[in-house]
Amino acid sequence: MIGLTPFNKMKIFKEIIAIISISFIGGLGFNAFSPRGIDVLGNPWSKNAGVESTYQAENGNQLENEDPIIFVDFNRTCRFIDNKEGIILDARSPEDYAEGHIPGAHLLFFYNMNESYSKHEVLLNSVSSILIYCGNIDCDDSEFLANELFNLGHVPILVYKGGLEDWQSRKGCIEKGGEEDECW
Amino acid sequence: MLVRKILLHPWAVWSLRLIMAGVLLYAGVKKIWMPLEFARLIKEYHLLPDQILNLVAVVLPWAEVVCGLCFISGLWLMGAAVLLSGMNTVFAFAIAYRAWLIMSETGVNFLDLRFDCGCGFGVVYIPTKILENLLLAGVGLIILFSRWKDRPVESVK
Repeated sequence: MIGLTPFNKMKIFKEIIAIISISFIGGLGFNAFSPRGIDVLGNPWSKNAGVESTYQAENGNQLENEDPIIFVDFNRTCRFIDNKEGIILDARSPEDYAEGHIPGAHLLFFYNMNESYSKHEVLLNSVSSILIYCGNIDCDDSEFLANELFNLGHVPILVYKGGLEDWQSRKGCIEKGGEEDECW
Repeated sequence: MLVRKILLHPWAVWSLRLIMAGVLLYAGVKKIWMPLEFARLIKEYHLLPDQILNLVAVVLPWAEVVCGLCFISGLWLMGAAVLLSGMNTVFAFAIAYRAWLIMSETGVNFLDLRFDCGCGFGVVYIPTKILENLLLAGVGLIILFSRWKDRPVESVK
């Protein structure tokens, strides 16, 4: 049986250092020149930056990104509801949904996609656009659900990134047990 | 032992290296092309501070690609094999941790769990994904051990 000799240990260590060094150089270099490059040193995940720094969330239009999923803010969400542009989906759990949701939103729990989707498939195929939200800006389930629905051929998809937390903080209506309360 | 002989046969090792290279190159290039998406997915694990998320999202896919190229070329093979095993073991534990977080938050059964683990293959079935990562870690060890065997005898004390 051949053991891990000092020769092997040093060789492996040097190789790992070489691979990591090349990865750093390649990654940072490519990121600096790529149109999809991101801010490596900053903290783009703070509440006031995040996806809004990359996507033009204010008016719902996309910047340079080719992603078919559009991130929208509170005002755009209100317009979506007022103009009855399509269906609203709540990507949170059934328990969270029961505690309150945006009026008219349908529950489509991301982690139970197969069952939830089959319930809404006909409806989803009949609408011209979909708006999805989840809990708050830190929650990514709305984006995951958007990706899944996009893969199933549904477009356009709007994601209200602020989610229910942002909705409530701006005094948006909440529906609970079929009744609306706490409106504007 | 027969299993050991088969696993360490040059053709078997070559096949494993090519399969690993294919997986790593596909997953790595996909993530390199979508760094923001990848950063978002890493963030979902709640394991890294926000300040280094983007750096990891930029560098990690390149480590995968470089390891993939090492498996094809044979250059730095032992280092790549150790890195592959290490990374896949960490990924397996990270996925299991996130699965546990989701289960405790939502009550979804482990055997029904599916999510995008950020591995480059979209939404996947989690129990098999964890097994797959551990298997890949094992493949890394096989490749490493195949090279150990090739080391000159004089290096062994």
